[in-house]
Amino acid sequence: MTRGGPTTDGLFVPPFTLTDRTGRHVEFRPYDGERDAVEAMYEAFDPADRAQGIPPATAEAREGWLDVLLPGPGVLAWHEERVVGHAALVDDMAGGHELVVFVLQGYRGTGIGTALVRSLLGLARVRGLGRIWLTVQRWNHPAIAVYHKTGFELEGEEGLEIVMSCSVAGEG
Amino acid sequence: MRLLVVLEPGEASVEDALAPLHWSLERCAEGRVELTVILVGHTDGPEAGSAESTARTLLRGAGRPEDVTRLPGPPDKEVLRLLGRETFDEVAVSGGARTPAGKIRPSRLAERLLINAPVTLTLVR
Repeated sequence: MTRGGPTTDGLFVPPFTLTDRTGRHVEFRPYDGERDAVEAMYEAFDPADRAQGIPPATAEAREGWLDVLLPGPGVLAWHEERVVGHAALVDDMAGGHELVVFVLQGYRGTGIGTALVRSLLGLARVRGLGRIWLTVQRWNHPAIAVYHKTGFELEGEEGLEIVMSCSVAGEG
Repeated sequence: MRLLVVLEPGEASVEDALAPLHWSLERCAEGRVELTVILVGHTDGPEAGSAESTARTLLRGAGRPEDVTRLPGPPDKEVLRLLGRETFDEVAVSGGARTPAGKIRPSRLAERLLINAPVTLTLVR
């Protein structure tokens, strides 16, 4: 179902194309300055699907947020000239990177989120990054399942949210 | 109406820690509000000193008594004990910090008050 750059342990180095579970051909490519397309995806994002306060609700706040998100490594999922998923790493200035991933409504539950995380981790390895971490609300079982499947392990629990992390250094 | 303003420097930047006070002073303009300002958490740290002096300046500027009480000890327990001891109508507290990617991380204090405060709670951010 995939073609492109799988590594020996299940990560993918983009670009590659995947046929999602509904038969759509989705292309995964590293972010390369296509900011307008990313902004369009977040503008179309259902406010009810925001997680932990992001993406921000207003266009102005989203601008500032993308200024932080887009300089780091990122992967976009494209379907018919449109960005339908985005995963990014933000330098935490403490030797690690925080991972975030968003999939547009209508494309959830089709394997795109998993492929985004796998390809971003593949990109992170190519770029020599080490510790990758994220926070997720403990009731967000679909997201937690994706993170488990892609190699993240529980690192800590802080009240309503959990911290998961993985290392992509020195393998493959 | 009695409003308890909780400042927890050390959990976030001093500016973020003061957000509940800024919000509360705006509330005061709407009517009769009696403010009680407390400082919890790392009350001995440099952030606490900076937050306290800025808080006093803000209170003075608003024509309010410059009273800021330091309550050392676990912030959640101190605030809940105070709410059990005295009568307040509402509590204002910081909603928490953010991760590098912008996700909100509610502080332990915010979460504990959300569940356990016996009065209306406002998370300010």
